[in-house]
Amino acid sequence: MSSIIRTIRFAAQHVWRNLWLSVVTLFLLVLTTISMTLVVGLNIVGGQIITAIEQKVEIDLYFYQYVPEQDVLDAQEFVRGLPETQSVQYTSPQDALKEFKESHADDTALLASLSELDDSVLPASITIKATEISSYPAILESIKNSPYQEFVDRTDYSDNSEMISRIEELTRIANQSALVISTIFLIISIIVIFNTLRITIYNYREEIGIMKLVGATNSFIRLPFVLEGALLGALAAGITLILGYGLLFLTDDSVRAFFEGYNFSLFAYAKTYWYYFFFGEMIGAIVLSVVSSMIAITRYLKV
Amino acid sequence: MIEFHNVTKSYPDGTHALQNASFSIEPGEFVSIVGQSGAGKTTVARLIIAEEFASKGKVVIGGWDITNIKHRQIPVLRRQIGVVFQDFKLLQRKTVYENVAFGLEVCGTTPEKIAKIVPQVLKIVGLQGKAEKFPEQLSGGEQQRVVIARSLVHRPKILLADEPTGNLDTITANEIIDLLLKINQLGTTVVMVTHNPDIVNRLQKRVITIEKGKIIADKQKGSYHL
Repeated sequence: MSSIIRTIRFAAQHVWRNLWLSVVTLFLLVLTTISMTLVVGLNIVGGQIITAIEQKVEIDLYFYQYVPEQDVLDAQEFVRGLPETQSVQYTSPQDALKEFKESHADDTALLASLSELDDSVLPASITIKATEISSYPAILESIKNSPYQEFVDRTDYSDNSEMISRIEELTRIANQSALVISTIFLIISIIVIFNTLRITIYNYREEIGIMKLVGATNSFIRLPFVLEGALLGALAAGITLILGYGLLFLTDDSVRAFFEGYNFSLFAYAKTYWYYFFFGEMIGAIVLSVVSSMIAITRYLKV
Repeated sequence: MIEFHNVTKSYPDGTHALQNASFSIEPGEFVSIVGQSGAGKTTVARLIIAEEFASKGKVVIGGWDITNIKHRQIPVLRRQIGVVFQDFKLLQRKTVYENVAFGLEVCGTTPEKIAKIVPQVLKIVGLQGKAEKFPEQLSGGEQQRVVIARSLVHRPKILLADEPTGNLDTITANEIIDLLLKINQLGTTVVMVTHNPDIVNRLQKRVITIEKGKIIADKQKGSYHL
């Protein structure tokens, strides 16, 4: 117990008696965690945008008006049975007309002309959502080769097919870019933090030698430095979290306005998953500083 | 207490810091190891605390053959030997109290015991009012007293002093030697490496003389002759 208290005391003394160096190390750690969080944040935003657009992609099959409802329902069951299908929704001619009227409630002339027609003026349709965006062509192919193809008057998908392939391409590029950027940031961060801690420990090289000559073991010397690294890492994670929260809170209205129609708030997201961010940042910062300290100190322990 | 059996210390460039050195120091002795700069006397000190290792021969400390000591055993050896350095080797970011306490902390002594022992040792070396000072706030003599206090605090059987008066004026140097004599009288074996003839001649204790890595004289009541 006394050795734990002693280690904490030594670590606190290191921080306090080298205040400026500790502040600089902390500042760099904060910058590193901010950079890493930024990359993760951009990945999240990109992912959310892609998911939102993907959710809007669907296939609408409009059936000839002469096709009996039972055949349309059979076609729906057929599509539901396909492995690529996530959901299929049937819209009867009556429901289609009801929706149409609701969406044109202000157009009295149109509503008046519609009232002259019977309630099956619009065709029955099914709306298909696939499990994955890449599965839509397979679904279309299955329908094309099925006996239900002859009932289909129109397929509302061709307009989206180009957009889907572009989204797929964008997703792939975004993921690859994020990976490259994250890796570059990680390497830069490791180099910067490692060198900062190396300077701190270089500053202590004589004292480390003296400690060894007086009979201190390697772990006795190393532990306060490791604890100091962990302390600064945890502190950096806390500061990054507070700064990030403040920034997201202040920019939330602008972000919401940008993503209008997608119901996405980065602040709300961070609020829900704050512990993932905090512990992720803390573990990252602690591992980075502790490993750097361990490597940097080893060369001075050979006395 | 300390035995050197035909010890040779060579370096890769072919130079010999020590050649075939053999001597034995008994418990309670006060021995001065003298010689000119580069003679090999500091090598003897370094071999005793396993800062260096013999190329040939055998080094035994308190019955423990440390010639091929394992790395993890070195701290255990060093905790049994008090070491006083010419350049003091004080921890500059620690206060006088903390420097002295450090000698006990490495041994795992409890804070309660440390709080009891450190003021006593500081009193012995005459630094009772300086506990909260940092080394840079002390004179050379006072810094050397802190080093002696740190080396004594865990009651070592051997006190190794490498040029303890090298950075001090004559009066202060004599005070430090008096302190070492007092420590010796209390039963601690003192090995002092020095090239100061005045001090050696004044002591009238055993003198081992080294020249070009070889022991050329070992006299019980010796003086400095080179």
